[in-house]
Amino acid sequence: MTAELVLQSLLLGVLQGGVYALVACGLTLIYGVMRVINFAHAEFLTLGMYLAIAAWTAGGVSPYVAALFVFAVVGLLGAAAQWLVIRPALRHPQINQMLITIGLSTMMIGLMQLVWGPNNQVLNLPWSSATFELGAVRLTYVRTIAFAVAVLIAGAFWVFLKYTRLGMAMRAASQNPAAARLMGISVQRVNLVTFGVGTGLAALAGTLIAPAFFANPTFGTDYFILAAFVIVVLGTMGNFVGALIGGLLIGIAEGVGGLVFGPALRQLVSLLVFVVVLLFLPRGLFGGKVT
Amino acid sequence: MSARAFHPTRRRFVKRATALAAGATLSGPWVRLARAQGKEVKVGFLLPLTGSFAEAGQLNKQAVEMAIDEINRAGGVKSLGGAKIVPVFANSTSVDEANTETNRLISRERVVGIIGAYSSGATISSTVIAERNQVPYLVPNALADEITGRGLKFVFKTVPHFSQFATNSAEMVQQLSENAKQSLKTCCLVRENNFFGNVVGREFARFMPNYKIPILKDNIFPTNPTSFEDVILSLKKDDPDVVFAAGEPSSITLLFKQLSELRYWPKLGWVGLGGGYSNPITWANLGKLADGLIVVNDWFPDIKLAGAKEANDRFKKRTGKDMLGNANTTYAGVYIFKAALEKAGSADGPKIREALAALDLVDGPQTFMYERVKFDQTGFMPRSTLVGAQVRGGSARVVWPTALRVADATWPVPDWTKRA
Amino acid sequence: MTRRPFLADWLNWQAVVAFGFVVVTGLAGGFAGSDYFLQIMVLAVIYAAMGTAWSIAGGLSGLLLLGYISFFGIGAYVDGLLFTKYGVNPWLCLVIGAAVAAALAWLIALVTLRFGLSEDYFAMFTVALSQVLKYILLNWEFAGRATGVYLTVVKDDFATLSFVDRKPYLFIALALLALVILVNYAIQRSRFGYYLAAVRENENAAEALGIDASRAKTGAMVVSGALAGMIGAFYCQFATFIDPKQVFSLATNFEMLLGPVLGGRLSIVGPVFGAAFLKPLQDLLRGWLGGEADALYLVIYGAVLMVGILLLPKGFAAYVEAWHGRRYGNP
Repeated sequence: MTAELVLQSLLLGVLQGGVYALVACGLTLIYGVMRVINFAHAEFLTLGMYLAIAAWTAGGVSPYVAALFVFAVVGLLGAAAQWLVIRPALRHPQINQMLITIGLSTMMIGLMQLVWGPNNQVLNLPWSSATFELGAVRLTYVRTIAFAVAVLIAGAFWVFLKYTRLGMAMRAASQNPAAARLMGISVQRVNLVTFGVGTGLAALAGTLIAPAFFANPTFGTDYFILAAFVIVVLGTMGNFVGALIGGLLIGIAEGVGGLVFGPALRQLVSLLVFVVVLLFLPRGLFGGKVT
Repeated sequence: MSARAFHPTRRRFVKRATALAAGATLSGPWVRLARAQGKEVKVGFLLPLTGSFAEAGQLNKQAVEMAIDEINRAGGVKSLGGAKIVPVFANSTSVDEANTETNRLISRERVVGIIGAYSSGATISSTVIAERNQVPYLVPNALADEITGRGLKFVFKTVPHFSQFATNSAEMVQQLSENAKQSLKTCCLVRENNFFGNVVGREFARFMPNYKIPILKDNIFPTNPTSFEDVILSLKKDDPDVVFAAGEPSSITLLFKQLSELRYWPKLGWVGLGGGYSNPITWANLGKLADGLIVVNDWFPDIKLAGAKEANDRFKKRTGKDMLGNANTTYAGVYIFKAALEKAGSADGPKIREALAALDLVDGPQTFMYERVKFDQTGFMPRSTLVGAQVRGGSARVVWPTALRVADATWPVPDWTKRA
Repeated sequence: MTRRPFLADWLNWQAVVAFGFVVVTGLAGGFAGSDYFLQIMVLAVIYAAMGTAWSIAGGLSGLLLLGYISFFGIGAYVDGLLFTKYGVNPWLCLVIGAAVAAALAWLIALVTLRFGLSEDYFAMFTVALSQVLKYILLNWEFAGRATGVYLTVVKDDFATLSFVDRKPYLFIALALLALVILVNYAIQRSRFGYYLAAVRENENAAEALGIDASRAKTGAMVVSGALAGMIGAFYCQFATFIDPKQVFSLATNFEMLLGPVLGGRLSIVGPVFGAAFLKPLQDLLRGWLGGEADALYLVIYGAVLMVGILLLPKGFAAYVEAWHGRRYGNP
């Protein structure tokens, strides 16, 4: 176990963690404002990947250019889904809400398979596998850019939440919906926007990672959803910064864990980290619910 | 009071129960339809038509359709009065589904035989159901040794046992290295933590010592990992001469991307075993990254066997893809089953089973793959050897064994820096 | 003073109807039933039993026990491993599976209650735990790793719960369902049931009344877990092949919760009929749409699910209960 190996694992873990963080941020935002655990979140990521690949193969549009467009399109779809199936259930028991999002997930997987088929689709940029060296470590441009953009967006979003009116409305609605309503905030509208933005962020993450992976209808569920949930809970549900930090932590845990315990146990490592942390910090790393 | 208590107002559950009973009754044993009615004989095909193996499942389905089209156009099953074969496809994506669908094929569709089911787990459980219903079950696309190792009389398997992947691969790399005057001392395994991967690990651990190629490390990765750096860094550290690998197309795609990114390549070469490695869609997705990859499988289109190229061309014309990923074995399997039907001259399960057990074919359409079709007492069809092919530009050409090769192997395979 | 008729009580009525279902299904499967339908029926009964068992912790007790399949999977592996490796009698494994699952449930309750995991966190914790178990078994040599455990059954053998015919499995599954219904009924009739209801409605008030909420919740989880373990052990004998991805599958997990949620998790008829309706519907729909139209099936299934849950937030049992109230003139 040389230092070089550890460093390599660490850095790759950090890069992966950034992307995890962006996905988790959207998920935690939705929970924070609406108290809904969106089990369909991974499908929005997959949808983002598919749209990026479609833009590339149809029009040669780079995913980085298409990203904003994909964010908007999927965000709107997400908002529509919220309006149609989640909003009516907000007064109902939590388990109902959870199963509704699972129904949404199932339906989306089916739809994506109908449209794009079950086979893997790739987005091969001419420089998809190009790498650069950082000391003794070798990293790909794609993953590094994905990390950088993800962190930037998450950061920008944090600023948005803290300083803009809409952001403050979201935070108010998440802390106390009744009081927020009394202050004239349309909680319904905030919920709509939140869900749209949250799912849009997941789709955005999808476009960023599309050149590094491949798309198939169950990609999101297979590769990202468990990690996303682990991170959201770890970072305290509803806590945006928590999701960011949690994402990096889990990325590193998986990377280094895989090196130390063997690749077959990567996911087990992050799950165990999750279980252990929850036992000692039952509300996640950041205690209460603060944005 | 008691009269009121048992007032028949429980309409809802009575209705539902009656529906269940009615449905069950309708397909009861006294509504038996003749199996080979008129000029038709139904054969069931269990394949993973959705889910993670959907690509392979769909490809196998196309192979089945091609074989059946050819058979029917040539006059169907002559000993059954020219009866046309009608395929009934069923999904075997999960074990429960495979079991339910097997029951459906047997009870509702009344198939005369089943061919399937691609995934070993589904095959292991569904063959038991066929066995007790005395419906012959031909397995041309699932590898587990256990399929024929349990004393079932109605189960026949045309694909090789897992152990051959180990023994033939070892022989191949030894011969290639000898020819190239390279020293071959060590190897590593890189395999997915799924059924195939696990058995590969077991067989390699068993046989590699016989060939004096010690396994430095058995790297197992989980299904759906987002990155392989731990495996690759471990390989860098161990520095084996050869890497033997097994996995599914998704994992292979990611793995190879990262191999090139992290600039690792074994000293002599990378040998992929069956499964995802033999899937041309994988090669297409990898593009140039797959150049030089050696794949061990039971057959490739570019092989020195009569009829091989023609069969593949027909398939490619029909589907746009090469006949790999078990599409070839399934295609051959349909012909083998048809031969049994001809021999049996009946749609009766036990008779078809007898015919299968007594088959000894040295000619016919399946010779593009199998020189001889003959099953042993356990229902297994022994093959002399698997073949190894090298991938270049998206297609694979057989390079081993010498008798079947169409090209010379590039061995050792140059690493990333030396490739174009 | 006249006593109210037995059936005027909602719980009694439910029990009668549920047991009636068991009897009718047994008759239907026994007299007719092609193997195809028997296969579907057995799975439906298994899901019905799982749903009714879950309702004890997830309905009566109000626990957000989302990761329920852990107990099912543990039971399945207990049976699979003990039977194939040590020849332990499968009937006995039903009990051992229940015991091991109960132990796991007790452990989870202990740990989560001690550390004060609240609702949503508790739910995600149980989900994560089910996947932890999956990954442990995927990597455990003794348990067959990814190759799983398989049984070869070629003749009927009652002594080892192995049958070639599907019918005995149906009868045994129905017996297990009857047991679960009985347990659920007995709990709802007992003081323990009142404690659970009190804790569910308002934990603080319940504690103020002297009810030990932790003990009640633990009890509910242990019972639910034990029953699931028993059913899981039976499942292993029925399916003859289990692997970690199958018996710890989150998809299956959520499917098993559909019965109680759409049926009504505070009732008995809810989970029983919910599963009895949904699971066969799922299998038949998939069979009808044809093997390759699975994508279409997913879309329809997902849509039906969402619409169903939105239209029946309390499950259809709420309507049945309302009808029952009117029918028997309950105030």
